[in-house]
Amino acid sequence: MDQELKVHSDVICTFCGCLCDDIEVEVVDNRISKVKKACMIGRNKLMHAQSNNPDITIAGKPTSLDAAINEAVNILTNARFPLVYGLSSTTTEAQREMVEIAEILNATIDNPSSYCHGPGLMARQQVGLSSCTLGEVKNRADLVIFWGCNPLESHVRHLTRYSVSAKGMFHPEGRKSRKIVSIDIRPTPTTKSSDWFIQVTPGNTFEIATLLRALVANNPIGKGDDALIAGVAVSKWRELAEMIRGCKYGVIFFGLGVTQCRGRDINVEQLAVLVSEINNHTRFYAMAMRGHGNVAGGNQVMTWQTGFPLAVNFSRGYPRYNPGEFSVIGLLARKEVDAALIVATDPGAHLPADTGDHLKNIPVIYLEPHNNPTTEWATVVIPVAQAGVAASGTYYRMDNVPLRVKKIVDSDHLSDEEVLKRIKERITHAQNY
Amino acid sequence: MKSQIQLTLKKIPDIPVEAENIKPENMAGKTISEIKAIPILVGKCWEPAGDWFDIGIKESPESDSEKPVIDLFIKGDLTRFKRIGEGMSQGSMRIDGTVGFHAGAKMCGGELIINGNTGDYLGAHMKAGLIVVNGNAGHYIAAAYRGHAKGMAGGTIIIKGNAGQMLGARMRRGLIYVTGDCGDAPGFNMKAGTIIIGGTPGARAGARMVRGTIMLLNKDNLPELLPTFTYNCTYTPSFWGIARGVLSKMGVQSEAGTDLLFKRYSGDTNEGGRGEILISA
Amino acid sequence: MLRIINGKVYDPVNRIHGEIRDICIRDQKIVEGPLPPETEIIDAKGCVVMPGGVEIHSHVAGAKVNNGRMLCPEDSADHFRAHTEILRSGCNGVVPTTFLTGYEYARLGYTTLFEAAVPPLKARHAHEELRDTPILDTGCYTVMGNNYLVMKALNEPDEISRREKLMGVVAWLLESTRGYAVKIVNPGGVENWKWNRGLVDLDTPVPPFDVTPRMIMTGLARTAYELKLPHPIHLHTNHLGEPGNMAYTLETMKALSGSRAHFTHLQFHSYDKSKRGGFASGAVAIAEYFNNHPEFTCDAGLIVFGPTMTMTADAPMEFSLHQMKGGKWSNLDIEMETGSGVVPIKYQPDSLVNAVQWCLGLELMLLINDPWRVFLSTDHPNAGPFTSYPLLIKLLMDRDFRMSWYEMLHPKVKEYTCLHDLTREYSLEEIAIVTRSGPARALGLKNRGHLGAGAYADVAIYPFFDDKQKMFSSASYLIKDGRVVVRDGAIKESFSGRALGLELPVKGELAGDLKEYFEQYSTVAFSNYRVEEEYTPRPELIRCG
Ligand code: SF4
Ligand SMILES: [Zn+2]
Repeated sequence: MDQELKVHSDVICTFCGCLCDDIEVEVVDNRISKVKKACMIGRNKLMHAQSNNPDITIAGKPTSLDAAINEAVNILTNARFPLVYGLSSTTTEAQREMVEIAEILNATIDNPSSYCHGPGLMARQQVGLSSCTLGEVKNRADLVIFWGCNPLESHVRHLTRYSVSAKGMFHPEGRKSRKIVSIDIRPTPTTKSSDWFIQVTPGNTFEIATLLRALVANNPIGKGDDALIAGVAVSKWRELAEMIRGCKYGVIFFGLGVTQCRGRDINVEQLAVLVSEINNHTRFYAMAMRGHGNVAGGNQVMTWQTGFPLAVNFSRGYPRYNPGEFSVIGLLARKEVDAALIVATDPGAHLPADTGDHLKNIPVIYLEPHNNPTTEWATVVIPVAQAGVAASGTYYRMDNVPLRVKKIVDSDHLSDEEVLKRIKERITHAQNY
Repeated sequence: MKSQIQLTLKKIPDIPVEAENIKPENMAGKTISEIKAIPILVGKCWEPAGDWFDIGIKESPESDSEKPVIDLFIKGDLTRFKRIGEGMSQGSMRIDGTVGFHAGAKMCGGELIINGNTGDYLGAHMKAGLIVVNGNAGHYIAAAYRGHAKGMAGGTIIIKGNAGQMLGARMRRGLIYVTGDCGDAPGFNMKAGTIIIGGTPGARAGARMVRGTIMLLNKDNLPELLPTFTYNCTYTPSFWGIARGVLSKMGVQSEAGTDLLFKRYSGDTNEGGRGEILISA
Repeated sequence: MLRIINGKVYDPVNRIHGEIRDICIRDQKIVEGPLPPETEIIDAKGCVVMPGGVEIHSHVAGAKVNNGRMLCPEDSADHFRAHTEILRSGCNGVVPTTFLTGYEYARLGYTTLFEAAVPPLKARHAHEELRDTPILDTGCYTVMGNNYLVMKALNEPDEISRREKLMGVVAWLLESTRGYAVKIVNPGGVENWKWNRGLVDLDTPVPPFDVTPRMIMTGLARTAYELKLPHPIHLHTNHLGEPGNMAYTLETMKALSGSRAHFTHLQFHSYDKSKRGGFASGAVAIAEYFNNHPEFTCDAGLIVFGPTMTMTADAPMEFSLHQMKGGKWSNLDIEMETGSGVVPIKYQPDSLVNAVQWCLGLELMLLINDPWRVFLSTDHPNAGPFTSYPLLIKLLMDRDFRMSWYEMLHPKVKEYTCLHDLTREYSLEEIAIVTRSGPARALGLKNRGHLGAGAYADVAIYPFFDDKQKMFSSASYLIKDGRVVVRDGAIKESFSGRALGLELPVKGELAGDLKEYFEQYSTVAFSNYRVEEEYTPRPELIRCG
């Protein structure tokens, strides 16, 4: 019998915030057999998307989906301060279910942005942010600054598709007509491919942004030209300020080196004000280098449903917000939650070990397509069809452009959305009787 | 004859509790069983305070005018108790033990004395009254909640130990005194008011400050000021004498004399440069 | 089945002016009756019965709206609603979360709602939020006034191929975004700003295609006509918010005279200039021109005093507002399509500018004679939140009340406005027109905005009070699709409304060179651009023509 070959084009890779949507995937007999155009990371992830699925388990013992869902509902409805957490690598359709479950349970809900790019969101809440979509960068940007990020390794195709060598409308030559500057504490492949690498001392993002504001706006400063800020002479920063004022359409991409550097949200606040003030001279923008596929979508869904992008608590039946108080790290470090529903993130791998440990002492329900450190100890494990491979739905790119990821193979498992819907229905039922 | 209400914690909860109802004006004049019925939010369920506290009412000793009468006295490890004294407007409350987040937040009168450490957001958006902490305080003391441009609008906070980061962030008016050290960015984006720090502050004092005064009494081990502060002069501001007087009335004696010299730096120049940092010379 | 009896019915389309009539409902529609005797009855004695409200211009869903929510957590902390067995929780008094938006509109008696500005690239986002906006039927307008494909088509020298190409682009954009109307925001002006250039006038050539705002507006107006769209171009003209912009608005009206157009939030575009260059009301001149041009409709964009959030695709306007006011500013440039900005604002009666704006909006509504052509709006939340409609209705219906407010304004406001001379008071019938029947007609919605047989059973019942603010602040009943959604002012049931879209007379296709251009410069693949049907699970397509 002939094998059935299907070729899917313009497939969206869901593995980083770039959401490249030009991938070609060949499927033979419902197995992904070839991936073209994706970067190494994306290709590997897609090639292995269908393998290594966990079993449905309760306390490590295989069971039926029905029993697992019942146990999940049992745990959640009995909890006195439950946490719903994740939302990064799944569809907004599933994220919406998670918010509703958190609401029905009067639980706390958070996503990994609280320890990645959350500080950027908090900064936006104070001062706003001037930003643009990636196509504006590709078509117009003549100055691109990578600050505390290393896309050549983390968002591999970012430079070719959007920010550096992409051939844009007003930059038909791509790389040649753009100036690329990177600010980082150590050399990286990205800094090496930049026109100007400014190597700075760790922990000084805020000082740099403060000085740049003063230099761009010609405010008085209490330092001479030779004084060092973040290990770099003021005169050098002045050069950068000149370059910024002289460009036509500039963009700063900032990464965890900015948001998780000493000061966190106030770094981004200062950076956002800097960008805003540069607009008195020219057009200028900043964008967070969002990591996981749909972490941006999680913030959007939470904002339109609850008013806040992360760290929301429903103890009183309505949404309340306070990062630190209601974000995952603080809650776990203070050992405040007594049960958790975790979807589409791997806390076992991503959370700092000492905080993550509390999860091992409480019942945890975990929805995930693949075996990983968390599936090893989670109380209830429910394998799901992976979004963008075996389930469709909406993902938001790092610039918040929403795209529909497709189902290209069939899976034996339900999607996050479907499992969550069942959990939600049974919780409602349990609460009403 | 005034009576004193005493709350003694029976057991430490394993989940967070929100207890904004625990404040003097909610208890005054109530019977024990009425006080027991006062609801507190344990996790996501409202439970009567009596489940968590032993409650006693005793006649308070005659005030000898030296020591103020305490109306409400709470004892226990209240680390997981948030919002105690939130919005408190009158009376006095003393806590022997550590308290959680938001103690005395939005307070608009009365006195809150904490003999222990506190969590974050102590006295956030406070309008009036006095908070004294005989211990260390957390982050965002007297600060603004997320999104707000202005935090503390008045009143006094005295911390006898150390304070965390963003002390007095975005404050609008009022006085904060910290005997010990504090974390990064005291007076961040403050609009007015006064912060006095006896020990060593973290980095970025006065970052984005618009107006107001930050006094640093200890010149040793000071981290470098931000580049957007410029030196003006060395002098003894008349204000120092007043502040010193106010503090000593509240039981804080500064070793430094009234003629202490300060170096004055103005900033943050990015925000107009109308704020000042005074560093003991 | 449902019968509403004893109510005073206001159904301007069917010339029912406050008479007691029975309204009969079967399934989702209004029918002639009679209905079987066992039919459930709603006794509307002492109440006024109107068709469900139709919101023609509001910002409730999508990227910039969510940006607005993101920008004011402090407001969300103060205004919140807990969930119930039926209702989802929500918060924010200025830019409410999606569920709360639906509930609040329903409680005011509204059943149809249009999101006024959706950039095509972000259309999925708008639809996602509209899916979470319950009860009301919703649709959205597609932003085109700075779109590269539109401008490139307009740049075509040959007239016939220009028209064909433009028609293809517009139809393709409407189809791809599942939009309902062509929205134009500061045509050419947003693109010009991205080049760090100044404001544009009607004939300023705008890079990169050297087309002018005049060409964009007239071209799109004509295309909308040729496509027989139920709603004409929905136009936010250049120079919003500038003193003296009235002259520019009149120029624009002249340029468009003879073709249908909807001028949105006209208040923001009707400023005269005082001798010192400040704000003065231009309502008289604008209304006079407007009164003589039956091809135009408008909504007022009335100011509400208090804090609110401005949000628009007019990015340069938001930036200058930010430069003026300081404080928070969010901006988002969208590739090849538009920009957008968000800035919080507080309108204050003791600010002369705000006082003039406040008077001007009311003046427009009082000076434009034909209620079928001017509609109630606050350009929510730009001029104020929609939840203030009851107050605004009272200001229109009650001159004494209006004057009591007038007294509280900046004392100099008399010099720059004429509100104190206007004695007109709106009647209940006129309110029914400016809040439902008029917008429904302007939108080409034949089954909405009236209570004749065949109309959707969308009915609002208000308790009669002399205090019109009280009367309209909470419907006694709201019936949506024949289901009782609001009873005694409380929401009893919640479900998803329909997504209003278009059945276009032609298939939207991009001319070859435009498609190539798109593929070269957009960061989204052509095949991934179009919004899939999953985003409008309950579609209702309105036929063009
Ligand atoms: S850059 Fe990111 S989205 Fe693109 S192929 Fe690689 S992992 Fe996938
Ligand atoms: Zn609008």
